[in-house]
Amino acid sequence: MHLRFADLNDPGCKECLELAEHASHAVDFQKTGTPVKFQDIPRLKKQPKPDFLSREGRDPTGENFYNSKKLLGHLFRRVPLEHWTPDEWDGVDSPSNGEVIEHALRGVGLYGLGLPALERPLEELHKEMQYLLDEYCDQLTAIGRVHTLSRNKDIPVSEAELVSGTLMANWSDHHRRREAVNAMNLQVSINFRLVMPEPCLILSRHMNSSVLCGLKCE
Amino acid sequence: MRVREADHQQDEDEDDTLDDYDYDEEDFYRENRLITEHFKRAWAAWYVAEETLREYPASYGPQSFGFIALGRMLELIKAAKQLL
Repeated sequence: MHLRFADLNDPGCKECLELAEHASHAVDFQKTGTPVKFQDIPRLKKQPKPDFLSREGRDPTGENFYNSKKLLGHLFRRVPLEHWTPDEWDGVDSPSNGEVIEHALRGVGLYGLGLPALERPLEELHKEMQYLLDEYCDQLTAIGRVHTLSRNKDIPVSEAELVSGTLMANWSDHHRRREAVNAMNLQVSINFRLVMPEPCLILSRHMNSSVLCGLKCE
Repeated sequence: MRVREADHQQDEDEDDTLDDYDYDEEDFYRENRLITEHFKRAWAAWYVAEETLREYPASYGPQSFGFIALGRMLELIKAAKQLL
């Protein structure tokens, strides 16, 4: 409210000073025992707000907002907004473009580095990794379902959102959004550790030991 | 007498140098084996993720699993390069 009055008039205007006084009284409530009367607080009812106060997902150029002439308005409008969306995946081919990656890996010269050739893994290792993948997918799906914004709880948050640590949906409550993203990130990082545990072998005198930690070391 | 002592000292120094060299070489091979072993595992993980994606392109999880494995492989390639 203070920002709105200050934007319409001036930070030293009568309403702003009144608000500051009421805020001061409210802070002293525990000492004085006298609450602030809400009806005494100056308000702006049904008037458009300055555009920099538009919340996420709202159109700041709509009729409920006006272009603020103050510095905050200028700064707000200077933030570039690009509505870019990637090409939609066809849903048929593998989305990872694995052949390109494999080709690039073969070009590294693994043999010269003393690394093994890129062949089909031995059956036992293949089975182990398949088990690990299944476990990882189950955990990730469970996390995705917990954080879904859909009414249907069987539709999880997308894998890309989980891994990148962001939610694309519009939330009006920033605080709740931040809490949700933090909780999601924590759970995903725990799941990552299932695949990539802490360094288990520290040998190196030549390199950082974290480089040596491998996938699911025994 | 002094010459003998000096020779003896020189032999000891050479032994120490040889021990250091053996230790370094042993260490190098041990680290190399370790990197190779981890690389095999990371490659197997990526391989399995790709297999799943080819069969079920819309499946939930293999993409990020493959990314983690790929990241590990790249780290290990870097480590192998540093070792040389």
